[in-house]
Amino acid sequence: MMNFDLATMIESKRALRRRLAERPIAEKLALLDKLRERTVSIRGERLASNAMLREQESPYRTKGAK
Amino acid sequence: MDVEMHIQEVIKTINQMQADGVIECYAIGGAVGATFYLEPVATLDVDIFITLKPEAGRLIVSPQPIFDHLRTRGCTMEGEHIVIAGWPVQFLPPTGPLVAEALDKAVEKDVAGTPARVFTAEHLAAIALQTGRAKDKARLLQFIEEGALDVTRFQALLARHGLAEAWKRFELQFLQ
Repeated sequence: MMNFDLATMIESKRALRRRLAERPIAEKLALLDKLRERTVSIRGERLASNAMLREQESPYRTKGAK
Repeated sequence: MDVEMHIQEVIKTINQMQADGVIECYAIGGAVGATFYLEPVATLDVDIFITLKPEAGRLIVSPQPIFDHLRTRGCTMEGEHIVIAGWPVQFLPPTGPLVAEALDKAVEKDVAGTPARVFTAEHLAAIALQTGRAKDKARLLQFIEEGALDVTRFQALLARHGLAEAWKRFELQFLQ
């Protein structure tokens, strides 16, 4: 039953995250595939001129970069 | 998108590269590495940390053999990434002692019959603390909230790599 108690909602979200974290790794990686497809599809429409979508660079990537 | 995306295929390809002697050792880091311990969070690319086999007679290690190997298997280059099974993959050498240790101490996990070498949860969390972008802090919080870290090992890692102050700041900002 849905209710608007914030503590209950937070706990329910935590429980969902825990359940997702406990899924078999092959399933979780398949979910990553789907999440990326969706992200590319949504962002790709906005950034159609970009050949490639990139994330913010992290220091371990940029340290050695020219 | 025309190309189907399969991270498991990426892992198989990397394993084959290791078996063929193109790379010496690898470990999965970043968001994909974190997925081995946490719930999946959308990411756009796969970070593969590697050590390369030095070529005979050469002092400088070059990533060229990786690109040559993958090109012959139909993979394409896109900027600093190489696209394998629809996923942009970035090959990264260890850029500091923490990442070098993470690569050395990485653990083997089973992905439905495919072996995958992955950074430990503690190393992923320490790297997130060191990297320090908003999404890295969010990932570190996930590790903590899910109880995914061995606290003793994590604290020892922080002390060994000079991250104790950064951890204190993080604790003050997010955990108090």
